[in-house]
Amino acid sequence: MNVLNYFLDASHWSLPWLIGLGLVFIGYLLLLRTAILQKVSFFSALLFIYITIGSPVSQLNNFGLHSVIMLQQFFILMLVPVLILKSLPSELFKETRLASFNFSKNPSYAIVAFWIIGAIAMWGGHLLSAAILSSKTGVAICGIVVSKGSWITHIPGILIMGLVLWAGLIFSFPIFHPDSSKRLAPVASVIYLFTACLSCSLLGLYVAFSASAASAAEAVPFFTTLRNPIPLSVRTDQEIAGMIMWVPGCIFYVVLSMGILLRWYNDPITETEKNPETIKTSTIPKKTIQYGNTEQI
Amino acid sequence: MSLYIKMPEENEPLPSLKRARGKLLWISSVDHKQLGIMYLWLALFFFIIGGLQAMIIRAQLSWPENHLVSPEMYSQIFTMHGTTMIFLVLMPALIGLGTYLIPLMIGANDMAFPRLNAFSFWMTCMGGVLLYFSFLAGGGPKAGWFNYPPLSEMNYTSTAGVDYYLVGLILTGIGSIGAALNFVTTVLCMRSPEMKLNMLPLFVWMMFVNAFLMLAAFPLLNSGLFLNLLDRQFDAHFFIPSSGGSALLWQHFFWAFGHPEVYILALPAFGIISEVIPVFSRRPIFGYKFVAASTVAIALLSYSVWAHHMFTVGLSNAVNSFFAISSMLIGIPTGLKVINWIGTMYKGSIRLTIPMFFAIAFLIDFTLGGLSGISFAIVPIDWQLTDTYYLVAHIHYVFLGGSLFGIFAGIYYWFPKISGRKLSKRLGKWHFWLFVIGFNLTFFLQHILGMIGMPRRIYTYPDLPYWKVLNLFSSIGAFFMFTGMAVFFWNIYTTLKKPRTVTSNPWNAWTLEWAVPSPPNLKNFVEIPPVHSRRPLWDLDHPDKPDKRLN
Repeated sequence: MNVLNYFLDASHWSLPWLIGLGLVFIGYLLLLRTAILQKVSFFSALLFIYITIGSPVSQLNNFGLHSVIMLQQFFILMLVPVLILKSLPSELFKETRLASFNFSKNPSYAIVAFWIIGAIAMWGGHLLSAAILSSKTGVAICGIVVSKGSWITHIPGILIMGLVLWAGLIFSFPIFHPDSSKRLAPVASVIYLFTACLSCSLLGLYVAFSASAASAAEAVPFFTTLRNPIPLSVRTDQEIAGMIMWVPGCIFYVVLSMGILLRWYNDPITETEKNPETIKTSTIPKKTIQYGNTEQI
Repeated sequence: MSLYIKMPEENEPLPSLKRARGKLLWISSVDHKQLGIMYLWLALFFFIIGGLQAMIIRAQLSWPENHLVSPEMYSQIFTMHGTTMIFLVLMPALIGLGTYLIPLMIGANDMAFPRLNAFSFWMTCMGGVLLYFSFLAGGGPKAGWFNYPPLSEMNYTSTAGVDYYLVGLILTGIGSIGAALNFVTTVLCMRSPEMKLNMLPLFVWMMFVNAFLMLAAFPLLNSGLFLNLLDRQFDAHFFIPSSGGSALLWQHFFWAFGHPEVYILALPAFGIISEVIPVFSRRPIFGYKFVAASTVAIALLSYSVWAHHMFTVGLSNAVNSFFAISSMLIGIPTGLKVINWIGTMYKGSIRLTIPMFFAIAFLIDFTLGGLSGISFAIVPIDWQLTDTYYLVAHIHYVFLGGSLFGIFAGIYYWFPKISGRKLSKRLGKWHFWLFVIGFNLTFFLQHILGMIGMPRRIYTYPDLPYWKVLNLFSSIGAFFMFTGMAVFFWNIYTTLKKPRTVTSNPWNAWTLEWAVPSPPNLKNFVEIPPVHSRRPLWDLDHPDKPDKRLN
C-alpha cells in the first residue's frame, strides 16, 4: 500500500471521533457566546485533535513510527492547548480555582510549577511513548528497550494523550489566561516560552542525535518493510522525530513570543492602566531647560 | 517644580581619569565611558594588526605559484586574521560602543557593576595579548579560526600556538560574559524610572537581547576550548576519534556558539543602523515594534540553525533538511529589518552625512551577504561551495558589509559625543569610497572565484583560467581598503588634535545621550530629562507635536 492509498482508505478515518468532536463543536457554538476568531480557534483545536487521534496519521503509530508520535505530541502538548485557551471566554473561568491565579502579580511558585508540569509532559510523555513503541516493535527507541508484551503496552494511548493535553493546558495557562489582565507580563512570558523552547530543543537534540548511536543494523532497509506505507529506516524516523520537536517546536514558541512582543509594543499603556497611580499628570516642558550637567571636571 | 529626576549621589567615588590624573588610572578606572573608549582603542589596535595580516594574505594570493611567505607562516597568519578580527576587533568594538552608550541612552550614570566592567575589558585585553604572545613562544596557532580537531590536537599541531589560542579565547570569552551580564543588569535595573522596557532606544534593545545571546553562546565555546585544552595538556581524548573521542563534537560546540556569534556581531550593528537611519532621514523608525520583535526572533532562531555549518560532515538528509528550513526562516526577521530601514528612509528628508553613507552601504552589502547566506541554506549548493572562496566572500559580506560598516556608522555618529569633536566629512568621504569600493572589489570577485572552484584556506594556487586576474583584482581591492583605513586613522588623529567645539546635540538626534554635554562629564546626568516616548529630545524640542506618550 502506498502513501496515497493509505490516506484515501476510508477505514483509516475514524467516524466515531469525527462525530464526537463534531458534537463538541456544536455544543461550543450553542453554549458559549464567542467572537468569530475564537470559534475558528476552537474549530482548529478540534481539527488537530482529530488529526492526532482519529485520522490515518494516528494509525501510522501502529507501524512503529516514532516521528508520528512526536508530531502527535507537538499538536497535543503545544498547539491545541493554545488554541483552546484562545477560544474560551473569560467568564467561563470566573468561578474556577484556576481563575484565582493572577500571573501578572507574579506568584513565582505557581509559574514555576506550571512550567515544570509542561516540561514533565514534554519529556515524560515522549519517553513513555517511546517505551511503548519499543515494546510494540522490539526496536530500541532513543536507547530505550522494552521487552515485547510488557505491561507498559497496556497503558491506553488515549490516556497518555489526555494527560499530555491537560499538562499542555496547564503550561499555557499563565501566558494565555482567558482574562488577559491576569496573564504573565510580556517580557516574562517571552522568558517563559524561551526556556520551554530550550527544553524542547534539548529533547529534540537528544532524540535526533541519539539516532546516530543506534545499531547500524537498524539503519538497513530491512526495517523499512515493517514501516509501510511510509518507508523510513529506524534511524531516519528517529532523526525526523527529534527534528520535529526541535525545529518546529522552537519555531512555534518563537512565533508565540513574537505575537506577545508585538502586542506589547502596540499596547504601551497597559502598565499605567493596571496601576493608575503611576499615570503622570505632567505635560512636556518647554525647551528652556538646560540638559545635563554643564560643569566639566 | 522641576520635572527632571534628581540623580542620587554615589556613596563612594569610583576611580576614573576624570577624577584625578595619573597613568595608573588608565588601569584602575571603572568609568564606563573611559572603558568604552579603551575597548574602542583596543579594537582599533587589533584592527591594524588584523588588517596587516589581511594584506599579507592578499599579497600572497595576488599571483599564482607565489611564495612571498612560507606555507607555515601563511597558516598562522590566516588563522590569526580570522581570530583577531572576530574576537579582538568586532567584539571589543561592539561591546565598547555598548559600554559607552547604554548608560547614557537609558539615563544612568554608570553600568550596574563598574568593577566587573573593568574586569571584562582587562580579560579581553589579556586574551588578545596571550593570543599574540604565541608568536614569541614557538609560533602562532595555525588550525584556522575554527580550530578543528584533530588538526588542532597535539598529534598534528605540536607547537604551543593552539594552546595560546585556547587560553586566549577562554579569557576573551570570560570578558564577553562579564560584559553581557553587565548589559542585562544595567538595562533592567539602572534605566530612568520613566523609561519602560518597551521604550528603549533600538540600539539598547538590541544590545540587551544580544547580551542574552552572549550569555548562552560563550559558555558553549569556553566548554569546547577547555575540553580541547584538556586533550592537549592532559592527554584527554574528547575530540580524538582514534581513541574514542569525536572530532564532530568540537564542531557542535563551536558552531552552537559560532552561529549565534554571527548574530552577536550583527545585532549591535543593526542597533546602530536603527539609530542612524531615523536621525538622518528625519523620521522615526518605521515599524519600531517589528524591528524590536524581530531581534528577539533572530536571537531565538539563531540557536536552531548551527548545523548548517556542518552540512558536509555527513549528517543525514533528514537532519540537513530541517536545518535548511530553519536557516531559511531566520532570513525572514532579518529581511523584515531591512524593509523597515528602507521604509524609514522612504519620503524622509535624508541628510547624506558619513554615518548615513555607511548605513546605506550597510543596507546594500549586508543584504548581499544575507542572500549568499540563504544560498548556503540550500544543502546541495552548500556541498558544492562550502570549501571555496564563495564562503570567504559570504562571511566578509556579513562581517564587514554588516558589522564593520555598522561600527563605522556608529563611530562617525557618536564620535562627536565621545570626543567633543566631529570627524572631517571630507576625509570621511575618502574613507568611505575607498573602503566601500575596495571591499566590493575584493570580495564580490571572490564569489566568482568560489564558483569556478578556487578552494579556501589554500596557500597558493596554479595558474588556472581567470584565477590569476580575479585574485589580482581582489588584492587591488584590498589595497583600496588599506588606503581607506589609513585615511580613517589620519582623520581620527587630526580631529583629536583640534579643540572641542561640538554642542551637546550636533545631529539634532532624539535619544538621551544627546542631552548631556559632548563629551559627557564624569557624572552623566545630574538630572534626567522627562521621558515619555521613544524620542525624549524630540518631545522637548517639539512640545506642540510630541510623540505618542508611552508611560
